[in-house]
Amino acid sequence: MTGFEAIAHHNGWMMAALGAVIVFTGLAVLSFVISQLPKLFSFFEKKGAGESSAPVVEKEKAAPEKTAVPAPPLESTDPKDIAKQIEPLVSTLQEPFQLSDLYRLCRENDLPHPHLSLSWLQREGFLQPQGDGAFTWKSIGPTAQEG
Amino acid sequence: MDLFLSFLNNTGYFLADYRHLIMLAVGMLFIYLGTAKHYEPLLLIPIGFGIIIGNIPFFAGFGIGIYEPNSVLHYLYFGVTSGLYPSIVFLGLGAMTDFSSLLAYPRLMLLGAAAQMGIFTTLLGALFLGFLPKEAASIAIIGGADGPTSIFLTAKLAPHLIGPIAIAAYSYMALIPVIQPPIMRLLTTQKERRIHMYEPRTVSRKELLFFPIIGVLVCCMLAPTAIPLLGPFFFGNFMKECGVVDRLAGTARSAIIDTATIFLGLTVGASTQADVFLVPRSIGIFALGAVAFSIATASGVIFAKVMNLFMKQKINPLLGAAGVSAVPGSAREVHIQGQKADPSNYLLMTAMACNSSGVIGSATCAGILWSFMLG
Repeated sequence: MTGFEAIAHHNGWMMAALGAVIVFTGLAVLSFVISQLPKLFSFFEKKGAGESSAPVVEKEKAAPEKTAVPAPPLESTDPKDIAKQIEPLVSTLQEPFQLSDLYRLCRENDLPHPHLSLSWLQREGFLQPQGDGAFTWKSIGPTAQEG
Repeated sequence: MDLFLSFLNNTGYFLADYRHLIMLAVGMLFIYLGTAKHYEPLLLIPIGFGIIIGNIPFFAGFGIGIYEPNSVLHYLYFGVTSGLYPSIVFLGLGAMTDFSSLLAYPRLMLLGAAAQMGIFTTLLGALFLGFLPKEAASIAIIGGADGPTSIFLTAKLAPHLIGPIAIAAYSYMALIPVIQPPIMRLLTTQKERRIHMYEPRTVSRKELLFFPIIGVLVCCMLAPTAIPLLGPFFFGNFMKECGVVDRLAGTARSAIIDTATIFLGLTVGASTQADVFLVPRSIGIFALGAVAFSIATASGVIFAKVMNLFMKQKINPLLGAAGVSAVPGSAREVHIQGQKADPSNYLLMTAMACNSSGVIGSATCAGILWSFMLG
């Protein structure tokens, strides 16, 4: 059996429509739940802080998660300044490294605008593509001040 | 002399016919694409070599071929037919996946759902062409662009089609740079491709830790038949994020997934014996696979454009193409297309969010289709 008759005979229309609705609903629910997670956590943290009046939140803030190399926040928009901030992070990675790993390090060290920064560095040639998403770092070299 | 002639009659050179030669050429093409062109080498090289091994002709009954009981290849192939290798691959994938981008942009998960429309459209197409429902479901899952998921569902529903479906799924994954860009360009304007994604919020460790637990509960409760794929996937991710079993997570994302990939590729390749692979319906499967993958890409892009109609902060519609679960090929392609439109447009991380939601989406679809076929 072929054609629309086959689709109707095997309940194809229903399967396709129902399947699409189920997968959409499932992922929409998951999407909604994860979008609410930060609110949920902050609610419980506030509640916990209120109940114990202990510095729970401060404790969490004081213990930074996974810090590879401490780096000050970026203020400048000059790619050379950004490169100076990011170079210590790069030195913890083995070359060639994945951009995603460097991005993660930037995030972990609270560097603002990591997307934009990496994009600039790539454009300015500090990050040199080696293919397959791997990059090497072209050092900025010692500046006049540093000797 | 008789002994020598008898030996000659048993050699592959004597037994080979044109079908074997065709398949050997296909195997070599896969190896060439993987080695010289770097198209998904981790997949194409084991599969290509498997095709060569599986298509060296031999006398049946010696316990050599993959379909002969007690042969070594047959034992290794058990990991495919039982769905074991795909589950192990998913464990490793989970241990590799970083969900921080997805958690930062939760609405992008909908693109992972939209890109699954290729699966259900192809289900209709396969039924239209006269495939039986279980065969149609197995062919349709190619639209998810996820090799292990395709193999898993086909092993459960239509084991006789594992060879062509696996080859089609992996071929289209390898051909992402050829298939996806024209569809992306056709459906988007230059202005849309230039849209920069807004900076993601910071994701806390708690969120990363809770996500695999919430994910397994939401998805596997919805489609329990997806447990063999999504269970190990989220477990692997939890191992990665909890930070107290780094050694296990490290092994899952290296030695374990590599071992499973080697045997999966080799045996899937070897299962494409000329007599079972070179049949007219394989052509139908390949054609439907291409349609499925193209529709999946188009659905994601179109849905992203529809989302933009209702959202204040516009998203780059190219991201919809990364809603298929070909990790990280489609994310990389989206990034490349974004950079072609605007060199300062950095879409890779956001595209990976769509990609990882595509993995969850296609595995859920496999579970849903399997559930339908049980009824």
